[in-house]
Amino acid sequence: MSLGMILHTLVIWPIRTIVEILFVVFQVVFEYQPGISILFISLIINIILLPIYKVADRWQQEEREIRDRMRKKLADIKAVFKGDERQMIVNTYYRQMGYSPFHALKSSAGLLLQIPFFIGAYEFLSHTKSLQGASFLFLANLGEPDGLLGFNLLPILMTLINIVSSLVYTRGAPFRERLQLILMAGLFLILLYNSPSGLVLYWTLNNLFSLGKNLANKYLKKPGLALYWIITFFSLLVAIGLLLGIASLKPYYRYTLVAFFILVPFIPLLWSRIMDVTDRLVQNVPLDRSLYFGSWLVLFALIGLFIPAQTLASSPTEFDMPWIFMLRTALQGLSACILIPGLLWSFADSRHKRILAVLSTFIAILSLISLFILSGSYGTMTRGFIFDNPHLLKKAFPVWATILAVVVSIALCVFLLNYKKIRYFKVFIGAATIAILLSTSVELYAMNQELREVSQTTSSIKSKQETIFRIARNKNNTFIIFLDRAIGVAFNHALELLPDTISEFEGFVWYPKTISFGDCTILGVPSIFGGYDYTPWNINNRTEKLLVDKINESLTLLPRLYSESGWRVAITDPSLAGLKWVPDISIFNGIPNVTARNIKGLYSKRFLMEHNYPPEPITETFDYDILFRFSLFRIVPPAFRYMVYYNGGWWRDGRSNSFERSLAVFPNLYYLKDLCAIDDGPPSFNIFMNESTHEYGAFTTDFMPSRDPVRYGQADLERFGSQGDAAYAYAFLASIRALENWIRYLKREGVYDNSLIIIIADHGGRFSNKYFEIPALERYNPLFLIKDRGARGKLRISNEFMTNAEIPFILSKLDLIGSKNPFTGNMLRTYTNEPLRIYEAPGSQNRHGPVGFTLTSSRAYLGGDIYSACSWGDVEK
Amino acid sequence: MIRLIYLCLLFFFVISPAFGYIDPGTGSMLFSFLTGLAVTLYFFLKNLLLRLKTLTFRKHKETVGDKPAFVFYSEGGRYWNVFKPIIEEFHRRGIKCSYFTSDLADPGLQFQSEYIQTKCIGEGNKAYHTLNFLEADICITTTPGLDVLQFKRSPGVKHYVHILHAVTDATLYRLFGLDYYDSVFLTGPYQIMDLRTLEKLRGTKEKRLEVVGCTYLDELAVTVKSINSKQASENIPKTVLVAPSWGENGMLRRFGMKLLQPLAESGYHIIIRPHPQSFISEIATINRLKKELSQYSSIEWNNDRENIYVLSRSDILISDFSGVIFDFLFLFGRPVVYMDFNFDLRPYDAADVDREPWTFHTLRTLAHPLKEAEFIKIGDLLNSLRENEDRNTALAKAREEAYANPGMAGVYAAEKLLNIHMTLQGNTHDPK
Repeated sequence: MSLGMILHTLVIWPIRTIVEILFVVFQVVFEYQPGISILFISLIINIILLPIYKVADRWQQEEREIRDRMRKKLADIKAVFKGDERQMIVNTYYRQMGYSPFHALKSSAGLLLQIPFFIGAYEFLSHTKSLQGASFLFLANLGEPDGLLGFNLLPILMTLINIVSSLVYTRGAPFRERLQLILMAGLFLILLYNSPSGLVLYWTLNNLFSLGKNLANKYLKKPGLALYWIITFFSLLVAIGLLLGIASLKPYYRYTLVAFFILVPFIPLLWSRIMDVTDRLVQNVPLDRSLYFGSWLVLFALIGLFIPAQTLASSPTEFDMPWIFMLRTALQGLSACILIPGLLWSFADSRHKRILAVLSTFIAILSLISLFILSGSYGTMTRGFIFDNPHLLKKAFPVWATILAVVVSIALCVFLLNYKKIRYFKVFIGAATIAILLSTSVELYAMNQELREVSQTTSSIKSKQETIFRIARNKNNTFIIFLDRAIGVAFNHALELLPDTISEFEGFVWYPKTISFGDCTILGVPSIFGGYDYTPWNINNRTEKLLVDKINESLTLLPRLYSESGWRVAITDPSLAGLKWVPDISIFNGIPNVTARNIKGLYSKRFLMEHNYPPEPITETFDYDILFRFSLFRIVPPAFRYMVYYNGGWWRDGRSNSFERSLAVFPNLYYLKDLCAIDDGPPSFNIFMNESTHEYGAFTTDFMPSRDPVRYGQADLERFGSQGDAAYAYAFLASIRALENWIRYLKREGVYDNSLIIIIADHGGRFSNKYFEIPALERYNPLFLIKDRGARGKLRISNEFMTNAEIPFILSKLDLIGSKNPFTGNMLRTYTNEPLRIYEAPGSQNRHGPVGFTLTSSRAYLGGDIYSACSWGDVEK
Repeated sequence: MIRLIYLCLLFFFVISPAFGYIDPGTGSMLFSFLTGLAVTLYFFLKNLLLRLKTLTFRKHKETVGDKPAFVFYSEGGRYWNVFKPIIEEFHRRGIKCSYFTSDLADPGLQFQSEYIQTKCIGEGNKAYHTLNFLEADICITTTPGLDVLQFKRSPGVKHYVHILHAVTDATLYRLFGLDYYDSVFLTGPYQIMDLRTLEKLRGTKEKRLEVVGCTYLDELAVTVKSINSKQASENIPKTVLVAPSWGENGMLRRFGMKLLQPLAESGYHIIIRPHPQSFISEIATINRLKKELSQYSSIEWNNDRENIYVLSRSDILISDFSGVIFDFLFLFGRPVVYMDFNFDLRPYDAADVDREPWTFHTLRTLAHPLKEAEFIKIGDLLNSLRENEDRNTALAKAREEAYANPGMAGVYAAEKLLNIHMTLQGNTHDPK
C-alpha cells in the first residue's frame, strides 16, 4: 500500500463514501434518476460546507487583521535591517505578536478542509457508471458531454455562473483579485469542458449555490433569515412532492419523511430551547477528552480491527490479499473513528464538546451491546457479502430488542456520566479495548496460519505445472464437464447463434428433454454423480445416515468405481463436498489414484493479463470498503441491520461483483486445455466442475466478462426477453465457446475419439423460452450433451426423455466399471417408469439436514413430453 | 502514453482544479494558501539555514567541576572597564566567578585572582556556540539581542543580566535588544520608565531593573585623575576631537568630507577617532577619507584601544549620538558640538516608545547642535563656544539622572548580583 493510497484512504475515502451513500440513497428514493440525485448531493454537501466556510472565513479574517497590525512595523524593519539580522528581527517581532508564519497556512485551513470534499465528489462522479445513459432535463446522457448547440453548453453555463458569482463575491475588491477569480473560472471551463455532463451539472449546481450565497451575503441584511425561508420553502416543496408521489417509497417511510420535512421549519425556532435542555442534561459532564476519545477508540478497535479480522479469519482464502484488505479497513476505521471525531472535537466549543462526549459514550455502549449481546445468527454469507437468507436480517430479533438496547445504553450513560462514575467507565473502556485487541490478534494469528497452509498447497499445484487432468493417448478417457445451472433450453440459442462452434461439437447428442429433480445445486448434484439412489426422495428415505455423508457418498461413488477398475481419476471444485462452501476435498482421501483440487481463481490473473484488462483502481473494486460497511452492520442494533445491508447492495453505487465472481471461474473453463496433459498412462476419468453459467451478469456481447455494468441492446432484448435473460444467455454462450476451444485441443492432440465426453448441469434456471408450457419449469431443465468414443458427425438432437441421474448408469455400461453402489448395495440403474418428482428447496446447504433435505414443494412427472403441461402434476406443498 | 496523460491530468485535477468548483471565495483563498505555503516554506528554510550557520553541532559540555555561579561575557577588550569594577569587587569579597571574552588582547585576561577564572572563548559563531550551551547560574553581558540574534539563551543558564555600557537611553539598542534579559543594570533611574513601557507594549516578561551606576565611567574617572595629575600642558592650538558613531547615521558615512574639510581648514588641531566598529564595517569609507585628508597636517587619526587619553587631550568634542558625548561631558565638562539632523529611530527600541529619548532632549541643554548648513563656518562656531551657568545646572541635573552612585557602581553591581543569586538559590545558598 503506497503512501498516497494511505493518505487517500484516510482523507478522501470518508467523503467519497458519504457522497456515494447519499447518491445511492437518492437513487433509490427517486427511482434511479441520477440528475435528481446529483441535485441533492450538491445541496447537502454545500450545506455541510457552510459552517466550514464560516470558520474558514473567520480564520482568514484573523490572519488578515494580524498582518494589517504588523504591516507598518514590518515595513520599518525591512527598511532598516538587512540580511540575517533582518530575518532574526522579523522572527522576534512575529514571536512578540503571537504570530507564526504557519498562520498563513491556518488561514487556508478552511480551504484544506474542503479539498477532500471536492476530490471525493469529483472522484465519485467522474467514475460512477450510473450516469451512463441517464438523462436529466435537457441533458440526454449524463455520462457524456452534453454536445448541445454543437458544442458543450453546460460547461459554458457553469462558467458564466461562476464568473457572476466571483464578481459578486469580489465586489469592491482590487481588480487583480477579480481577475484571478475570472481566470480561475476559465481554468475550470477548460478542465471540465469535455467531462461527463453529470459531473459538470454537479459543479454548475455548486456554483449556483455559491452565487445564491454570495448574493445573500452582499445584498441581504439578514442572510441567515433568507436561508431559513429558503430551507422552509424547500422542505415544504419536498413534503408536498412526497405526498404527490415523486418518490417510490413504502407508505411508512413516505409519511415519516413527510412529517420530517414539515417539522424542518420548526427546528431553528426550537433550536435554542433544544440546546437549553441539552445543556442542562450535560452540564454535569466533565469536559473530558478521554471520555470522548476513549469511546471512539473502542469503536475503532471494533470497526477497524476486530470485526474485519474476525471476518477475514473465518475464510481467508476467499479474499484476494487479506492482509492488505485488513490494513485498508483498519485505515478506514482510523479515519472514521479517530480522525473525523478528532476534527469535530477541535472545531467544537465546550458546550458542544460535552454533547459530543455524551453522544460518543452512548454510541460506544450501544455498539458493544449490539455486537456482543445482540449478535444474531444470520446464516452464511457469500464472498460477495450476500447473505444466503437475508430474510433472517429482518426477523432475527423483535423490534423491542433494539428499543431495549437503546434504553439500556441511555441508562448506562446516565449512570456513568451523571453519577460521577466516569472512573468506572474509563476502566471499562480500557479493559474492553484491550480485550478487543487481544481477540483481534488471535484472529489474525489464525488467519496467518491458514494462509500459510494454503500457500503451501497452492505452490504444490504450481510446481506440478497446474496439470490436473491426465489424458491417456492410447487408452480410454472419460470426461464429465459439469456446468452449474446450465439451462437446457438456452442451448437452442447456441445452435442458432454459434453455428461454427456447434460444428466443432462432432459426435455429440443433445438431450433437450432432460430433467433434474431439483432447482438447486444441492438437489441436483447428488443424483448426477450417484444416480437414482441419490434422488431427493431416496436421500430423505435413508434416515439412518447424515445428509453430509450421503452427499459425500454420491460425490465419491464414481471416483471409487473408476479407481477400482484401474482408472486414474481427477476432480476439481467438487461442489458440496463435506457440505462446505469451499469444497472439502479430503473426502477423496483414501481412494487410490484420485486427485481432487479446488481451483477457483487459478487462472484469474492470467486471464486479466492476456486479455489486457486495465488494472482496476482500488477504489472501484468491490472489496474497497465492504468490510468497513460490514463492521457497521455488526455494530448497529438489530433493527437497523437490514438497512445497512440493503438487499446486499451495501449502499455501494453500481458495484456488483459479478465480474469478480466470473473471474474466479470462467478462466478455468477458458483455459481448460491447460489443465490437461496427454500421456501414455492408464485410462482416465475426469470430472471438471465449473460455475461460469452460474455467475452470469458480467458478459458482454463479445462473450467476455467486463467490469463495467453491461447493458444489452434492443435486438438482444427482443431475442432473449430481458436484460437478465440476455445476461444469462451471454454467460451461457461464452461457456459453450470456451468448450469449443477445448474440443479443438482434444482433436488436435488426437485424443478426441478415445474420449467419452458428458456435458451436464445440476439444474436449470429461470430463462425466457417458448418451449415449456408451464412457466418457470425450465428451472428443472439441465443441459445434457454426450459424445461417445469414436462418434463423429454433426451434433444430433435426441428427443428421448432423460434425467441427469442417468449418468452413473450410462458410464457403468460404456466404461465397464463396477455397477454396484458400494454404499447402498444397489445396482446402478436407468429410468424405468418409476414415479419421479421435481422439488423446490432452499439453495443454501445450511438450511438442509442434518439427515435429509428441507423440501418446500414438489410436482410429479406424469410421463411424456416434458415441455407439455399435460406431463406434470400440480404443485404439492 | 494515454495513461501518462491521464495521470498528469489527474494530478493536475488533484492539486488545483478541484478547488475552483468551490466558490469564488475560495479562489482568493487558494492564492492566499499558496502564498502562505510559499512564505512558510521560505521562512522554514531560511531559519534552518540560520540555525545551521549559528549552532552547527552541539559540542560536549565543557563544565569542569561545579557549574559556575557567575559568568561574565565581554565582546572585547573595550568593555573590560565595564566589568572590571565588579570583578574587582568579587575578588575583594572572595567570590568565585568566570570572565569570558572574545578578545585575546582583552586586559581582563591578565587579571590575577584565585577566585576569578578568565578565558578567551573566541569570536563570532564560535563564541555564540559556547554561550548558547553555557552552564552557569547567572550570565552577565553587555551584548544586546539575547534570544533575538545569534546569541540565544542557554538552557544551562538560569538568569541573564545585561549591564549598560553607556549612560544614554537603554532604548537606543537595535530592536528587541534587551527584551529577553532577566535583569538590566542601569546607570541612572531615568532609564526605568522606557524599559517598562516596552515590556508592556511587547508583552515580554517584566525584568528586574537595578540602578547600579556606571562602572566604566567610574573606572575612567580614576584614570582621568591620574592623567590630569601627570600632564596639564596647554595645547596650542586648541584640540578638537571628532568621535563619530558608526553606521548609516554616523557622521563619517553621512557627511564625510563635507564636514571634515572645513574642520581641517579651521585652524584647530583635529583628531579623528572613528568608532572601533568602523574599522570592521566601513573600512572603505575610512580609507577613502584618510586618503583625501592626507594633505592636511592638522588632521590626526586615532584608534587607541582606550579613548580616555584622547578625550582628556581634547578641548572640544564633535560627535553624533554616541555615548562618548556623555562620557566627555560627565568626565570633563568641556564643550560639545553634536550633529543635529533627523535621527532615524526606526532601527532602535526607542522607535516604539512615544517619548523623545532622554539622550536627545538632555543633549540640547548641554551641547551645541551643528546643522549641515553651518559646516562652512565651523571655525567661527568653535571659537564662539563658552561655558555658561545654565549649562552647568543642566549638566548637574543630567548627572543626577543618568549617573547614579558615582565611584560605587562596581560595589552596587556585585551586591545586586549576589542578591539575584540568593533569590535563585531560594536564599539558602552562599555562593562563596
